[in-house]
Amino acid sequence: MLETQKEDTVFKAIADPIRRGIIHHVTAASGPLTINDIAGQFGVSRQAVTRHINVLDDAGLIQSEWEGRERRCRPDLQGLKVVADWVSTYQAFWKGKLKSLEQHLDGAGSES
Amino acid sequence: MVETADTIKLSHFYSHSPEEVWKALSDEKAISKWFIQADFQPLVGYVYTFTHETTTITGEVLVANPPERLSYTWIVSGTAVSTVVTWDLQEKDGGTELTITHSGIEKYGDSAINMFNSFKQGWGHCISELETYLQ
Repeated sequence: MLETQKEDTVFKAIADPIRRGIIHHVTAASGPLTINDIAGQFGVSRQAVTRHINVLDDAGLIQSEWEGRERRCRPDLQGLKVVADWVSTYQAFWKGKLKSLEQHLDGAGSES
Repeated sequence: MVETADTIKLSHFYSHSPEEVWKALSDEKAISKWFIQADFQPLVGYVYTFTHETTTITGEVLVANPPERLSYTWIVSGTAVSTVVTWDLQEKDGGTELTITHSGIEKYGDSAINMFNSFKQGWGHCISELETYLQ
């Protein structure tokens, strides 16, 4: 049950394209990013970035901590794993199907 | 590396002609054998239905270009948003290089949750069976 609620929050968080962009950006960065760094990258206001960061923080996709007056954001790898698991579910599904197709084709070949 | 990829793309080589692979992908009897119970016609605009236990997948054929490309929308029951599945066949070394692209996953948003759950319940065991078999 908790697992499902967690997924619920995570997928709501990544539904927004800017938030997905922020995740990519923060994950690719060599160190923690400030709100200004992120706002500059996406051309949106600090207030808008703060709202997005709060959603991502609540979903456990990003961790943020205050250093003086600056809030620094880094990816939360454990939270992001939920998303990766979802994608890998698809990947496993299609991979399995590609293998099934091979067996089907090989079987069809030996019948004729 | 953690990814939030929006598109899944996988390729596999088959030692069978593109025509044979095409038939397996587009003939409803063949699809029902190796993939999923299917009501399917490779005709642009055809609304197909795939059924697996309580999960139904429907969609519309977007491209049917034998034996090179087959593409259709993919809508899982209980969700409103459509993704796109595309099969590309390329003749190679007397066989076929098949590439599947599943795109538009990012569009799911809220319905991703339903998708995830129905997928997990309906097909989860199917995937694990396949994985066990492959190991």
